[in-house]
Amino acid sequence: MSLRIERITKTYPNGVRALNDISLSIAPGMFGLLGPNGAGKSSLMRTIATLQQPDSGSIHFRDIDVLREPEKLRAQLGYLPQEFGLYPNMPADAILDHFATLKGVVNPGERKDLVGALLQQVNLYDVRKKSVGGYSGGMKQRLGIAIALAGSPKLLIVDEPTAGLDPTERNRFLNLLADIGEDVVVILSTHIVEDVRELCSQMAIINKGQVVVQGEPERIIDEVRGRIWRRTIPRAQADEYKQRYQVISTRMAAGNTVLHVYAESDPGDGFVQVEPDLEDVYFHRLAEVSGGRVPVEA
Amino acid sequence: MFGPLFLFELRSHFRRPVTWLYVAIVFFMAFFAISTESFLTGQVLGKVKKNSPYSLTQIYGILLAVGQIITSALVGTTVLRDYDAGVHEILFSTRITRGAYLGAKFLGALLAMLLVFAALPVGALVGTVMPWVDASTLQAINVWHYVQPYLLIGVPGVFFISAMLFSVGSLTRSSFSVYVAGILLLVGYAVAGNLVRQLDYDQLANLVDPFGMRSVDLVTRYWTPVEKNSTTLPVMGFVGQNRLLWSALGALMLAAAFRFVRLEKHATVGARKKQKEDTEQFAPPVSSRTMSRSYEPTPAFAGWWSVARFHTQSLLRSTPFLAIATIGFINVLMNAWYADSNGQNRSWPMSWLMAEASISGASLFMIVLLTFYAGELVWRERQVKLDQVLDASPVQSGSVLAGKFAAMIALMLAFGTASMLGSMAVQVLKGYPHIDLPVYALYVYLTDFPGWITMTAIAFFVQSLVPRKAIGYVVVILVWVLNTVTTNLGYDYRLLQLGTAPAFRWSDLNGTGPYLAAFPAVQGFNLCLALLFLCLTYLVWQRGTELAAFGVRVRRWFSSGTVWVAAGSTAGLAAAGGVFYYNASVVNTYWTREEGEQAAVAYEQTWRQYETLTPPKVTAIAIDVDFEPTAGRARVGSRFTMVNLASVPIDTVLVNVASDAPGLGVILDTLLFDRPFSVVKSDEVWGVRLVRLATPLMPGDSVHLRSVQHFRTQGYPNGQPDRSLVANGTFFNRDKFPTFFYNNQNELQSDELRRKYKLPLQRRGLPRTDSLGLSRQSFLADAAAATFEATVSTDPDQIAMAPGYLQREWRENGRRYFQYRMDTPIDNFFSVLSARWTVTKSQWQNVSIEVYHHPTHTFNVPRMIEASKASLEFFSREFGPYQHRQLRILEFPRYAGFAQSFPNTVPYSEDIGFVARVDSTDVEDTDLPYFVTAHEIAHQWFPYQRMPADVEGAQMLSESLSEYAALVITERAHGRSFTQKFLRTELETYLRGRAGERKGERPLTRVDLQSYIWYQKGSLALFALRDLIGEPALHKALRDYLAEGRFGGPPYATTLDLMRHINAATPDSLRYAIDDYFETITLWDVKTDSVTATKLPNGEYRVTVVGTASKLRADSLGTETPAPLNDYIDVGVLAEPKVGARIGEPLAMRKVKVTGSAVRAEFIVKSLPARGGIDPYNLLIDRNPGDNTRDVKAN
Repeated sequence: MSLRIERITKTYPNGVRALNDISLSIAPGMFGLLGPNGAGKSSLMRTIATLQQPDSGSIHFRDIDVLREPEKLRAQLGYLPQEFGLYPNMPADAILDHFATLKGVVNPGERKDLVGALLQQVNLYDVRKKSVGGYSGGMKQRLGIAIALAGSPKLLIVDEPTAGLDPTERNRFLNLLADIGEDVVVILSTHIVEDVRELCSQMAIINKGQVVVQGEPERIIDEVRGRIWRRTIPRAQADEYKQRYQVISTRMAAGNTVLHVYAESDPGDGFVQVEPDLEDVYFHRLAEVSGGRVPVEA
Repeated sequence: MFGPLFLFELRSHFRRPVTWLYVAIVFFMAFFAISTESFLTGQVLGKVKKNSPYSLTQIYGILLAVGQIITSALVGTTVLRDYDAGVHEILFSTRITRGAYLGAKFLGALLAMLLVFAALPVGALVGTVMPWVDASTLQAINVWHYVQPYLLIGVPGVFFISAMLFSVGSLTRSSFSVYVAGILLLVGYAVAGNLVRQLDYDQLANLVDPFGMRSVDLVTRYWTPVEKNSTTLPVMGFVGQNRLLWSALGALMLAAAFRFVRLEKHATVGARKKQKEDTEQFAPPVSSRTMSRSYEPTPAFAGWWSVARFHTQSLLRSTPFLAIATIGFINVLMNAWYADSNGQNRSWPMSWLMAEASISGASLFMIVLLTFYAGELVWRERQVKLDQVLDASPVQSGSVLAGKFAAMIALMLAFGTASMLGSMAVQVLKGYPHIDLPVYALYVYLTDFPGWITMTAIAFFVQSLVPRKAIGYVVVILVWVLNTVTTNLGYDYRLLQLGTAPAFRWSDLNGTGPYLAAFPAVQGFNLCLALLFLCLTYLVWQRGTELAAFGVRVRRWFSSGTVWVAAGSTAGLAAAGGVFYYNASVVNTYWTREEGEQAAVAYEQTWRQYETLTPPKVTAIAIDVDFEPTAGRARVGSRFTMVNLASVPIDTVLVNVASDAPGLGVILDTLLFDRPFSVVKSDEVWGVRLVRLATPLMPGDSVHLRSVQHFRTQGYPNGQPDRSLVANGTFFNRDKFPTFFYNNQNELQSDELRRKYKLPLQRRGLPRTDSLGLSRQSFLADAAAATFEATVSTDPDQIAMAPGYLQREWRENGRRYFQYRMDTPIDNFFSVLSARWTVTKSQWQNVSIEVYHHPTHTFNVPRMIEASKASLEFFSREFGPYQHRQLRILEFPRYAGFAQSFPNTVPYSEDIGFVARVDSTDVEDTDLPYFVTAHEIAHQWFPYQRMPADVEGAQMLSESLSEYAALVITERAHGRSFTQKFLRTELETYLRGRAGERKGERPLTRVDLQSYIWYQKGSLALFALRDLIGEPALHKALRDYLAEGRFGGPPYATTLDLMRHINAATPDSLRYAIDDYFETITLWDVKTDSVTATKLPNGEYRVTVVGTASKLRADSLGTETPAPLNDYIDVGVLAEPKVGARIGEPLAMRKVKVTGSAVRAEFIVKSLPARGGIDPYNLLIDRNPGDNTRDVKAN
């Protein structure tokens, strides 16, 4: 295993327990970290990225004790935080060049090639001389990933990268991630289930600072295969059904409500079995943790 | 919607604790300004009370300007806060109209701001009643005096600044722009002030000042203490116009904001551009080797270099930075452009002058740049939310910190260098392209710059420590303010001042002189302090998203090399500080201001009792001086013969010898009388000995004194070193040789300080009939006619000079010897100089005129010689023969800016005449080298031919008469219109001088302390009298005055003697003028209302001058009472002025007897005059000298 997170706990000064005894093992490839807002995803990411210290626990990446030798990890790290900005009055190539240097690409010729290649890759080459103050959200995000990729990181952490992007930009961005080398550990945190389904070979769901489930997406889906049932009902009856069944998600469709419920066996009452997807697992697990209530109106 | 919104705004301002912090800051600044000494102004105010309307206005004005940073924070960002909080979208989607929203926002903030500044009068009032305030500096509280300046100066000022910053904030939506606008306001104020001061346009100066300070100054510049204490500023006139203009400007800016502010969300440029790319295909992933190979963590140096380079570029691309730097550069250019002028006379743009202008013009901007951009750089990534990316990269924190620091330093260095190059360009443009690169480099890089490095490091440290950038700004500014305040409070130890610069003054004669010695310690201290602060900054440098416990960080960082750097810099600091301390406080003595005051008190308390001791008079002087200028050593031997000229025996003699001066150690080797004596009391600090003669010196009896003192430069002092013994330009004045009387110059002078130490108010001049006073000369109580001879030796390449004629010159033991002897008695007043001079000689009759000057300072040598010849010629004819056969002018280094007349010898500063650039086409120019030379030569008559007694009015007999004589000579060279320029300047200086009077003004004949009376009023009075009674009559009176007591005394001369002759020469009808000018304080106010010309049939013109006149008498505090007019006043019409003159040739001029307030005169002239008016030559002491003449209006 490349990245081992063991029993990480973090309580903020305001009393919020952000991480509660989290352990994860992550192999090279794309790793999806799913969880609702406030689940502790960003705290975990920042902790791995050496930006904050946990109260207890340990993190190892390959042979690096991350908490002891953060500077060693940083040399192999690419990090794109959830919210970030750029020096607004500087052009993209200068910013990228700067960060490439900071990440160890000190040979000027080599760095020039790298910057050019990365800008090509994220399709910002033509606007590289423009101040990034004029960039759109997607362009900034792409420049962000270019910065994260500079210096060939062996561990890439991207926190909610697709939030706020339109579908085209989102696809573009996910394609970029998909092209990253196989020996790199990529942690993609998101609350969008689709991102994980499309990209990740492994995943974990965390909620309230704890790992709810971890594994390969397919295996996880297997857990609920045959236990997800669907029915379309008039909207007015939704509350009544929620009382009676273990509803894991509700969705509006043409003015009616589509219910997904979890049941070991056919609940009857007009429910039909459906082939589960990751979303069902996600909502099921979250519902379990929150005591059976539907946590999210999807 | 407006009402509730407004109340909500107001409430929210006062719910924020920071608003109350602002109130407290303003309150305490006003409080301390009143209740402590010199917190704000660094000066005591004399007869003007601290709680006078005048002082309160000054305090409010300064604090208003300083407080604009608060306005930036409170008002400028009020709209931005809604944006930052993200509530704007919600707010703007409600029914609130734009007008109501902005109106409520602005009025809420304005009212909050007015309440914050209302703490000014409250703080001042509370400060006034504090029990520890010296009651004599206060007057009875009049609440209106506290409130009126707040209403007149404060409210419009707050309105304008608030309106401006509110507009900038809401239009740009950038808090940084708000702060920059605030700074630019201050900077613009300074720059515009600099400009208009040079241009001398009162109205313009009045209007360009948003704070109203110059308006106040214009209105009150000639106010006497009584007026300043009792009169609130008139609303009408300068102040009202100024306040109206700026209020209107504020309203205009508000209107612009209301019109142009958009409430909707920013539409970004990028959003529009995006469309284009969407059609493009993604490039394939790059899999070149660069993408897959792995890298070592960045080497510290490469990281540092990249950060430094990146942030340098980033700042160079930032508009506000470039704006500040550009304005700064323009300010430097202007500063340099006007550096060669003191507002009146110009000098050649020497390299040192331009270099000093360069650093002084740049300094404000250095402070602004480093204060703001230290904050900007430290907070850059957190500001743009890139901090996590940076912190997760492998770059070392030290590289980031050092890189940003280097970027800041590089840009400041670039700014300093640009300023220097700009100043060089100015020097070339001004036609003196002799650029002395080392001098520039010395000033800019070695003297000035290291201090900026320290201050930058401190600003970095503060910004790294505070939780928010804005707090950092406030703290940094407070640090700078405290740094100044400690100096104002008298704690001026160089090492306690952050970013201190070593004392430095270049002299062409003496180069770097004694200054460089302190550079290694002072600048080493600065740099080590900077390094230490950088280490501390590194310790508190934040990395990651949470603040690790301080202890954790300290432990972590101390495990690295930091500890070595910190230890190294601390050791360096200690070493440099130790070296400085050793020099300034061990080798030399350091006194705080208070210690200096106490020493003066001790002197007075110990020695004043001997003030009335009768000294024996010195009748024979033989000095024997050996200078070793380059080695910094001197031996001074004196042999004096002293005679008891009094009628009582003398058994006790007070002997002053030279004592230690800063950087100059003095040892008394020998002090021997030729009869048995004992030293009763001794004072090493002031070099005083009380000597008791075993057998009293009987009247007429004489005693010989032999003394030897050794001088040696030692280390360097905290402040300015004594510069009498230097490598080239040594100048030993009279104080380096023994004297024999109590020296009241050592006493504390100001009334405030004397009260503080419970000393009686200082004695003013003695009455003119006081027998003790009459028996002594005013310069030296022990002086009488004495023979003089001197033997002086010096380095072989220098000339050593003393009064007298050269008897012999020889070389011995590799040294050069000169022997001088005076063939007529002199009055114990002499000096000895030594320098490498070039000598230019000329001859007038049997008098040899010799100018000893620096080889390259030849600009004005011919002019000085010309002035010497003219003066010798004219004074000999008018006042009596010149008593010497030689006249020598000796240039000395610009460590002092005077010229001083000794018998046949005139030491003359490098600064005042030798590099002057006379330009007679300049309307302000007064031909300084010519005038000063004439003035010093006039001293050979006044006072050396008849010495004044030590009573009031003495300075009139030396300085007023010399000033007058010099002006007559200069008028002979330049004409009457020149004299008008000169007298107008003299008049303004006099009026300003009396406005600042602290001890009470005296009439001219009884002047005792005030140079503005003995120079400025003196020349005016004598010139006016010359105009009334005619030059022959006046000069006969002066000639008779000299003849009556030439080389005589005791008793010595008083103004009673002079006035006796002047009265005799003045007809009864004009005696009033003697009362007005000489015996009382009289002020006129004449004003010309119209000058109209009508063409007559015969082609001539009838010109009518109509105006008013009044006359006042003032008492010593400036209380005025009207006086009846019965005066002869010039009325006339004048031709177009020639270039360089304010008035032209008179076409018709006559003295009109004015008896009432109306003045009217008619003239028939052949051609149309250009100007006309009352008293066009400015001979009256006129409170408003600017309105005497008007342009002619033709009918």
